[in-house]
Amino acid sequence: MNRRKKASLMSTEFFLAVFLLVILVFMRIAAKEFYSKNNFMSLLNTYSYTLIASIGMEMIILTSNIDVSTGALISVVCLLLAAIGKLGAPFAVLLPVAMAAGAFLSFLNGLLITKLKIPAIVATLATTQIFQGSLNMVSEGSIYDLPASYTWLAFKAKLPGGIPASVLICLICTVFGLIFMKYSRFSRKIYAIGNNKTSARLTGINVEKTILATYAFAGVFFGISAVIIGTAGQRVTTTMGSGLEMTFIAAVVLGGTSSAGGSGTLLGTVFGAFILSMISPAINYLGISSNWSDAIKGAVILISVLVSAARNIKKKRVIPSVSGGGVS
Amino acid sequence: MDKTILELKGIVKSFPGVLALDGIDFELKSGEVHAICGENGAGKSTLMKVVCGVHKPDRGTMQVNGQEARYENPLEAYHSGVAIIFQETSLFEEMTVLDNLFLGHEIMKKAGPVQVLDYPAMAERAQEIFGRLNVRIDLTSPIRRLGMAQKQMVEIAKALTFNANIIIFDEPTASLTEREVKALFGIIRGLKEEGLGIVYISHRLEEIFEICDRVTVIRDGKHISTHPVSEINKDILVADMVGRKMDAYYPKVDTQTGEAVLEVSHLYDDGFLEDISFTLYRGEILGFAGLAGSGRTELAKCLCGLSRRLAGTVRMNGRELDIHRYQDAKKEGIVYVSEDRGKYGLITDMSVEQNITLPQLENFVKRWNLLDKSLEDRIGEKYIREIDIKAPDADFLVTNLSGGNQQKVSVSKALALTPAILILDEPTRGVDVNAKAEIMKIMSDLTKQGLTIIMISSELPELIGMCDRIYVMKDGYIGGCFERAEATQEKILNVALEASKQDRRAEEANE
Amino acid sequence: MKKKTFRMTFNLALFLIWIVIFLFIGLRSPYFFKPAYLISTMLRNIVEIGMVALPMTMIILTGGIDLSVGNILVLSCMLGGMSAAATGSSVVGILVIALVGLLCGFINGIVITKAKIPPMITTLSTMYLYLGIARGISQGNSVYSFPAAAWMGNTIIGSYTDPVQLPVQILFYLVLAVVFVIAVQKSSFGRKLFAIGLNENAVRYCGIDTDRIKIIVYTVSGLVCALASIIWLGRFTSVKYDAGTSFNLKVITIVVLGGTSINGGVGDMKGTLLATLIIATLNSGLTVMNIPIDAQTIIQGVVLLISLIAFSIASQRARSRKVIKVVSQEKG
Repeated sequence: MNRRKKASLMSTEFFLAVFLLVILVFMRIAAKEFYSKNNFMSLLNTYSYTLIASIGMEMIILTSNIDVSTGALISVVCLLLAAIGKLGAPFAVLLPVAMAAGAFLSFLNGLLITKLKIPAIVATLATTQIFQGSLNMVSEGSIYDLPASYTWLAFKAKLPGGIPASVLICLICTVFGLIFMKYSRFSRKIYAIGNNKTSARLTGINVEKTILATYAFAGVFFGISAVIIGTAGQRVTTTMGSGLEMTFIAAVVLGGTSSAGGSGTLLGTVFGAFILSMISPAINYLGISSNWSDAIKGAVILISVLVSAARNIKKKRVIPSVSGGGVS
Repeated sequence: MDKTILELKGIVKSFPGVLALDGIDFELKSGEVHAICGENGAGKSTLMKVVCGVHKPDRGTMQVNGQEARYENPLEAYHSGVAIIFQETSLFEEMTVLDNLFLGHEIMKKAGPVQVLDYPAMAERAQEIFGRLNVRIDLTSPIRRLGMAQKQMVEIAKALTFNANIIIFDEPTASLTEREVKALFGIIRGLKEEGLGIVYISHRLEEIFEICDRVTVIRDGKHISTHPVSEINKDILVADMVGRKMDAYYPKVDTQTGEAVLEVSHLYDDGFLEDISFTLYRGEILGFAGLAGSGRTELAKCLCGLSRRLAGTVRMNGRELDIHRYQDAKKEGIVYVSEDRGKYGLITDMSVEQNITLPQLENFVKRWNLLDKSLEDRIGEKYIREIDIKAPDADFLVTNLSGGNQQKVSVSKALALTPAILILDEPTRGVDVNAKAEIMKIMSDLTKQGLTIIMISSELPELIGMCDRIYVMKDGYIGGCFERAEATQEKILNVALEASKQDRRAEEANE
Repeated sequence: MKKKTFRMTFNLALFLIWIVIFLFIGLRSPYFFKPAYLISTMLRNIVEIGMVALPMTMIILTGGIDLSVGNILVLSCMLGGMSAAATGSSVVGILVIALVGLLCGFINGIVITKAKIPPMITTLSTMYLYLGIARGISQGNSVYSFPAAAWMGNTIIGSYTDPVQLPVQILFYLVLAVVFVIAVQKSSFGRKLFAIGLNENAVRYCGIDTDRIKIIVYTVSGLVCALASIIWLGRFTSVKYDAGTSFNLKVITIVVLGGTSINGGVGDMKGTLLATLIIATLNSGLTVMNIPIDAQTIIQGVVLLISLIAFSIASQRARSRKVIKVVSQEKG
């Protein structure tokens, strides 16, 4: 009993929360300006779109797949939004369009993976190129002079206290995600597949269909994230989302989700995404050149992966093997 | 009571190259514990996998609770009341006990317009079931933190969440301690009193006499006999299990065994083996018998440096060996042929000769480490000829060979290293009768040429027919040793099954 | 034997595809057929990617992947260029470049084998790390070429009067390609790579140190990245930290297009060479045909997808054929 209690205290989420707290306190002492309203609001905005997309990525990784095309996918959705935004479409139109477009594009990834049995990493590598390439083909680099209706979310929609409305969207998504991952039957299937595909199939789970649905569902989150990213200014370029997929994957892995799938919680990702969103502004206010932010991000991810690997090794040694090899 | 709830008629199931089940009949009544026993590979587990939909039968009919049934997957079987508890549990390691119990048939409740998982209801149901079983398990703990016995309890509880009235146990005690077995038996008795029908697969005879009402013996995929347990004794059962096929085709010739080659004393590995001591003499075939999981493979791995040695010494020709990795063992001339050809033995998508040369590629190169195809051809063809591998040429892919010929490639690969001591782990598994005889003959010839062989096998006739001496292992230690002349299947089975006092003491110390 | 014939036909198919593309583009814009263009533009532009595709083939053969190649390349460029600028010595620059590449690759290998972290996750995080270090150290500024790098990137063998002038880096590439083809297809090391990709457990049970081999492969990858980075720096004269983005995708595209299975164990170095040629032709050809550069990205993606689909269908068919064969054998 004692050991079990300890184990739950030692959970990744707990570590991350403590780590996060330490950084926040440290920033309070070392660089008070970090808590200036402007900075904090912009940090929250970054956090919002990072976390929303990471929720989708979390689901995909839990099924022991991956998506490296997310960045390009977001770019496509952003440009699509700009195209219809230019016509004066309001936010109420932009959001559902983004969700549908994201779901559709991510569904295509799912099709390649489940129907054609192409490993997720290569399939999404290929679609990255197709998304990014077609984007540049259809537009001349960017769409600009977008009307005020388009940037409504970024400039007009503020919550009391000047908090960006994107935070509200993020909050809704996160609460929905947390409930979904705990209380839906679908989430049990996602975990089961990530744990053991064969057993899952034997349990009567339609593995292909579930993975396909997971990609489509994740695409909805990518789409919502794209709305926040894409409507941040009056100009939308074709590389709005480039490279972001790495941040999302990193947030998930940092949050303690196993890259092999099947284990990890969304709560961990919530912390992981915050830590990653914080690194850039934090080091900026600490007087370190922002050019070091990527390196610090990389080091944080690598160390967290190494630490979790080390913890697993230790676990195996502590618990004596009850089964004696069990070869039959 | 005494209503027939499961009835199998003429079940036939074949896999490529093997007729696993050959017209099996079986019947289970409510409130009965019905044992199925037979040697390794007799078809016990296959039969039960057919029942619960993991495999589809080629022929035959099945009636469950009076209705014709055929399942696509175990979940369907569960839903209609048939639950199976596998040898290796099929639980999802990273998910919680509660998630596992209800996976695929979660209890839902309405929350506004949507259906959500009703954890309190599931927890309540789970508590009730665990209460019935009289065990306490933390429902929120992930499966990976549970011990083997607890996992089994979860599997049983899972069966009960479906209201299953037929529960199949596949070798449930294989990795349980004595005390856990007692607890399990208590639970089985309770289930029986509730009127459930239990199928109990085991080759531990004591357990069958302790807990079962009837026993069905199968051998080579065929139904041999069904008796009420009260009417028979162990001897009858063993005779049914082994049949009368002794001394059929074992070409063992008596060879002059020489001086001690390998002396192992007080060997412990990093978890399972206990105080192993034995001596191996030049030119002999030394057998290791024991049930699956008794530690024979672990011993072989430990000797070869494939697992860690914690204590004990290994001497070869009087010199103490210091083996940390398999590379070291190879250098000393100790070569291991794994029981699992597909996983650890062969690279099936490579050719016969490529497999044979892989452990010693450095001997098949010209300058600059470039492979010398003609040298490879030569050795490949040599073994195809000498070991009589039935392949058109040495470039033939191993995957296209039959099981017996694949095994011959495995053996050739080891022989090409010109070992001093060859360890063969289940050399005849998944091999047809003719190939078996051929492999036996090869072993016999090799010892004539002075090779020393350690042979691990679950097939007693084969061990008795081939080995000069047989050690019997149980739960990680050596339980006894027999000379060729005095060894019988009954004696060996007795040692392999019997839980000695020393064993029980060790277990209690562990807890 | 059967396998060999299949592989041959795959390479043959690649070759035919290349011929078709080559002729198609060449007939539309005859300028394309000029040897000078083919060699000093088409081939010269692909050298770095083609080089890195060689060790990447090895890595993928073992069932691994290296997503960090582009960033190893840029990081070694950066540090090499900066130290050359600081010391004024090309030798120091080259040494630093080689050392950085070696070290980066070695770190990947160690983390993958000793900490047992999946290659994808490992190289994903080191990719970030190497990119970040390059950015941090350069402070976002460009790093400039130094004489030795300039020589590697811009030297042309043969004078203007010769019918063909050969950029020196192509020579390096050819030598490297020959070495890699021989190492993978003919040497005992190559045999072990295939074996690891097919069944790593069995290789370990042969008494082969698989960890060592994998570390070597990742280290070699780092080293080749370093060599490519010298040429890269020389060719572009200045490099920024983000220059390596999507480099990894281009390299993996070539390897997969060349018929190496992403699951490891199946593949052919010569296929990688042919795929390099196809991609080079496509890239330059589309430019010649005035098709915007972005179309190249799409076309590359499509080509990768088609080759993946073709491969998955082919292997599924091969598998079912095998089963039928075994069954009929048992019956007979």
